[in-house]
Amino acid sequence: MKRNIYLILFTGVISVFLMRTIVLSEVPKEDIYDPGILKPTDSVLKVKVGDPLPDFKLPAVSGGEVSLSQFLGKNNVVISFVPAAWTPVCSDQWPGYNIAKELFDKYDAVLLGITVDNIPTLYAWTNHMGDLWFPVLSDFWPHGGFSRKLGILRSDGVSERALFIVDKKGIIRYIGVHDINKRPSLGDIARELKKLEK
Amino acid sequence: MKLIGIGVTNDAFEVEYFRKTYNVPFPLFEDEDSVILEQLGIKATPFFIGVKINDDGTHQVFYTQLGGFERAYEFLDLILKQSGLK
Repeated sequence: MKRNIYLILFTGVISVFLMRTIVLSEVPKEDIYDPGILKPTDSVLKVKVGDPLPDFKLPAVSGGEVSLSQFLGKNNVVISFVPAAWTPVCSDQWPGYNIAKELFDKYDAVLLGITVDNIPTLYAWTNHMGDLWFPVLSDFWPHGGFSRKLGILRSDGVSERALFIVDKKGIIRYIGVHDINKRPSLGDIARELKKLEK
Repeated sequence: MKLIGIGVTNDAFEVEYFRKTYNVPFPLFEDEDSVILEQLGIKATPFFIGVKINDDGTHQVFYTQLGGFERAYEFLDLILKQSGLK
């Protein structure tokens, strides 16, 4: 009797694998500009955990404006800053959050994605990510104004790859300024959201 | 035919989250630092590899594919044909 084993091995960034095989949507590889390895961080934070997050009002790709104040008293807020549209790590990070809505819902949290790109650029880029369930906001004008206020605007004008978690009172409970070259783990967000329960 | 999945740049938390969310019945492994990807010389994902493992411990790659597929049953049918099982 033959006992050969046949093995199929698939590899993929899980979010990308999903996007390709289930909703067939992914930022096309040929359209991604690779800036190479960058200085991990390049700015000095101007806020700290325990501070109130400065209010902001930024235009959303889906139309209208989104501000912090509209969530006060209602939701915890997770803000994901990514440096730039059409770059390698950023193009994987938000599609990854797309499969994790339940995690955010569990902790009464809304997610906001922000870059310093303008709305038309963000529109074209995020159109390749399937239907993102969270708002994507533009901190384009005045250029990187909100990022600068937080101290996460790099010297070349893009923001850091940073995560902020703000509680329902508007207080910053977590700041993660990550190595710009690496995608932060979903586990970081899960761990920090869990802490808000205490 | 066995199926395993490797989450490139995903850590253990993400792989477990994915497995639970989609009730994935086959083994999934994390490749957080892309070590497996680099060892295999894969430049982009998703990437599929079909391997035949022989009784004597040797093995042959019988299929590779870069990029996804539209219908799972068509892909599985293709793999079965390529492997010689069908």
